[in-house]
Amino acid sequence: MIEIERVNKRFQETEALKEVSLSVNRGSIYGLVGSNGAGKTTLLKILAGIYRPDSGHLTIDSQPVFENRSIKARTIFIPDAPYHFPNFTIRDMALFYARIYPRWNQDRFEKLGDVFNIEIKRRIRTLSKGMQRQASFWLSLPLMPDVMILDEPLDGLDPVMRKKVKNLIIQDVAERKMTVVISSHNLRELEDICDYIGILHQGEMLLQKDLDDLKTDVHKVQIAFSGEIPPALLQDLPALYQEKRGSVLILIVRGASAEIISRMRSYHPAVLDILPLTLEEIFIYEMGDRGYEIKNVLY
Amino acid sequence: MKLKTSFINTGILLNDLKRFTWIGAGYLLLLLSIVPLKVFMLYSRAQDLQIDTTAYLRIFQFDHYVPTQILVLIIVPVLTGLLLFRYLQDGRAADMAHALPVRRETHYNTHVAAGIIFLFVPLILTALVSWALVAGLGIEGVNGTNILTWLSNSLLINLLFYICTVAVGMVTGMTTMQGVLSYILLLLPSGLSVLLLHNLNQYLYGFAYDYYFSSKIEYLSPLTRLTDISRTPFQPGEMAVYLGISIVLYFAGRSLYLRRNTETAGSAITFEVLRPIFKYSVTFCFMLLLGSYFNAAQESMAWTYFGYFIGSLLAYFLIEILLNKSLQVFQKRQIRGYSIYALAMVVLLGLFHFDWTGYESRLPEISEIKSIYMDSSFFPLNYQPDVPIAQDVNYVYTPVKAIFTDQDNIARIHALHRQIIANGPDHKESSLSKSMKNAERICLSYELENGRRIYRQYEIPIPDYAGSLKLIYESREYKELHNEIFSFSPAAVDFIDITGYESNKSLRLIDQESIAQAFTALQSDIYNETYEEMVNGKPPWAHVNIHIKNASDHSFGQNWEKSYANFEQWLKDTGNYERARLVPGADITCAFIDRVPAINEEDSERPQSKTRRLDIAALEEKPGILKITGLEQLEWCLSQYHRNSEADYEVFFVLNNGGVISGFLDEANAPAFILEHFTL
Repeated sequence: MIEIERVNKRFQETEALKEVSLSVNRGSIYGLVGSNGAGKTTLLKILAGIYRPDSGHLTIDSQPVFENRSIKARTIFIPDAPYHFPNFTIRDMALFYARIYPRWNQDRFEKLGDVFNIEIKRRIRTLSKGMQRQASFWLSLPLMPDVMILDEPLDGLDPVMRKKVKNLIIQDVAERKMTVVISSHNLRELEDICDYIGILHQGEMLLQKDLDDLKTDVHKVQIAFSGEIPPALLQDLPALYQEKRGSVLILIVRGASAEIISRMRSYHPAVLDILPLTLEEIFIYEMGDRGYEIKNVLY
Repeated sequence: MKLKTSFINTGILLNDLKRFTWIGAGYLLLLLSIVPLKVFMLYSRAQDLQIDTTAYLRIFQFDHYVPTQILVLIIVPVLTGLLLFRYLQDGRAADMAHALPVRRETHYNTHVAAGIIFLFVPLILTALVSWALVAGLGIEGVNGTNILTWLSNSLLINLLFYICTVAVGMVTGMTTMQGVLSYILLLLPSGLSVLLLHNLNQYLYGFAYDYYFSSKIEYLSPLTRLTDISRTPFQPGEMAVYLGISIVLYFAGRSLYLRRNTETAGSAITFEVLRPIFKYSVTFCFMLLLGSYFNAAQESMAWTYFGYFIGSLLAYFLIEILLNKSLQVFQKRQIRGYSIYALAMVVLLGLFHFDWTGYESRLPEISEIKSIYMDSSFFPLNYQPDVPIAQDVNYVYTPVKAIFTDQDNIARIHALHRQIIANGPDHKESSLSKSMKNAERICLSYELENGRRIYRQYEIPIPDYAGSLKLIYESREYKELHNEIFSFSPAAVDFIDITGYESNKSLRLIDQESIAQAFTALQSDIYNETYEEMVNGKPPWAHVNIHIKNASDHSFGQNWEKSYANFEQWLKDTGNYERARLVPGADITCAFIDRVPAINEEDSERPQSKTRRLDIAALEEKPGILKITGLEQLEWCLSQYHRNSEADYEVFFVLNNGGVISGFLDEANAPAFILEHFTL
């Protein structure tokens, strides 16, 4: 659905994006993670057809995005600070979008009014930051987008609204096979909705992972032996990370869980336990493995 | 899903109309109150006052008495351009607009169209209302054509200013810069020309500053052209040029919009390549501006160079601050940039100093010359009679162009020019002091056989060139070119008025015979006049005003100079002599002669004629003063006094009517009665 190949972008002296590539399948949610200034917003704006890449290729449905009306009519971008015309009410903005986007669905707009508890006649600029963001979702979903590009969308939303918005997005992804690219500086926020995660650091894509693969691939093993730890074990199963807590050895190991268990068993541990990893932990170990200290990349 | 491609996007257009209708509405109100309301105000006062019908017309000629209309013309279109394209200069708004499924070209066209609607609809409505009002009230003096001219001129200026602002908006990402740069661009052709001319004039000896300056330099810029629009409405050629420029600017703006990056909103200059161009152009203009200012204010080249330095330095670093949005501009890179610029300017000035273009020494070969124009100004040469002048002026003055074709004169002028070039300016600073004594401006224009023209202008000290000038001034051709009397035959003359100098004596010749005789006498006197007589500064006996037949108000003046023996004799023969001039005894009671007080160097105020010592009684009692009453002595004084204050004696003639005429006399040719009085 979305293909980005070796995209570069410079702003005067600063190189915002360096050879960034990514691909997103139709109907999946791609989480773009990175600290402030990593290039997330630049990448998303290129994806939305706002910025022109200096070099590289970018397609949605095999078509270039820049100046492509038919692609942009099916794509919606919600920036971190959404812009609404001064003095415009939600109804005014809805009318504006309805005139511009051919797929505007008035029914849906009206139904969404129940979800977002905002007076339709309120001037958007008089709303609080969180409410303005809600208004943006309210105005975006009736456009029936095939691609939704969201820049830090959950910032400033209360937990209840966060949940609601996530559900609305997931619903569209499930029902209409909408594709979503979502950015955040907070990995935890994306954990429960993303299928893919890409980590951007100083304009470069550090790594991209399918979350399902990740979760089945990396395991946290707690293992204890009655006597000495057999040295062969650590050679046999190289760990991404190891730590000794008393007599318990904690290992982060890559591989299929069944195989790990059977290999571990062969050393006759006194205790053997395989625990699920949080997304955050996975990335901490993955990136540590590549020589990055995660606290330098995220947060 | 098929999206239809279109020139404009209805959604965007409707949104613009919704958001900015207040511009159009405000503009309409403003226009209604300064055009039709003004007409009605005048009309309602016409009951009590006599209102000239041209007062109504003036409203439709942009009313130069009240500059509101012109101000509105200047401000509103630029403001409209700024507001409609404001979204481009605001990062968030620009992102939002360009995330929409609307192509950049469509965005541009739609907003341009919206602006044109906001500007044109109020103008057209105002014209319609005005027309209805004028027709309804039955106001004479304003017709449909006047209103149509007003409308077309207004539409054109609005279009040009608006499109200019839009196009400028593409190269800058700041609304304030967009406004400032738009006005600068609209002013640039005139402003830069003035600056260049003024500065070139300092470096090129003989630079024909007046020629280039007088050729309607304010017409180069639409902004300065507006100051003259109430007198001279746009000509079809001008309208075509403005329309053409508007179209070019529209396409330029569109192409720049397509190339412009959205992320440049907020930066002073949106295109990387334009940044150095902008920086150095502003530096150069500012250098010329401050240089000219100090040059004009201080009349010194040292101050001019100071102005160049300060102007370029200030502009360079201010622009750097603006471009980088940081005060940290005094870095090695910027200092190097300025140094390179300064070096380039020093080289440029050096090249001018050594006359690298050969401008100062260029003198065509005599064989190449077809004709030479020579006069004390370029005004007659530049004069274009076909420029229509507003209705209230009906006097048409057509100066004679002093173009010499006689081979002898061409050679003489050529020799004079060679002499001027060879002498050169004493030193270049002297060209600054316009108060040079006995200086005369010589304006030359060569027309060469190959069709090329060469223009030069000099201020020369007359005494140094008297020999060369004498040959030229005494030639028949010079006299024929500089005296309009040679371009008419006596048969064309309606009547001649002769008015005595400083008196109310006058005489009118109406019969053809007298006119013919006076003509012949005057012409032969002019032919006989020597160079010395032309420049002696003696007031004439009388002014001779010659009125031409069948030409409303066309007349020209000719003096009856003191040296004109034939004309004097003819007046005597016809018995008109004493009716045409001041006569001792009959008109002049007496005269007082006094030494001109020694001039104090510090007190440069020369004795002012007329205003000083008008008290005759006080004059009479002044010790050492010489009072003359003898008719012959008075006649001698009358025939010899002149206006050149560098003289030995001052003379005051007391008229019978109580008036006083003052002048000067020289010791060199003074007769015994004066010398005896003052030397004994």
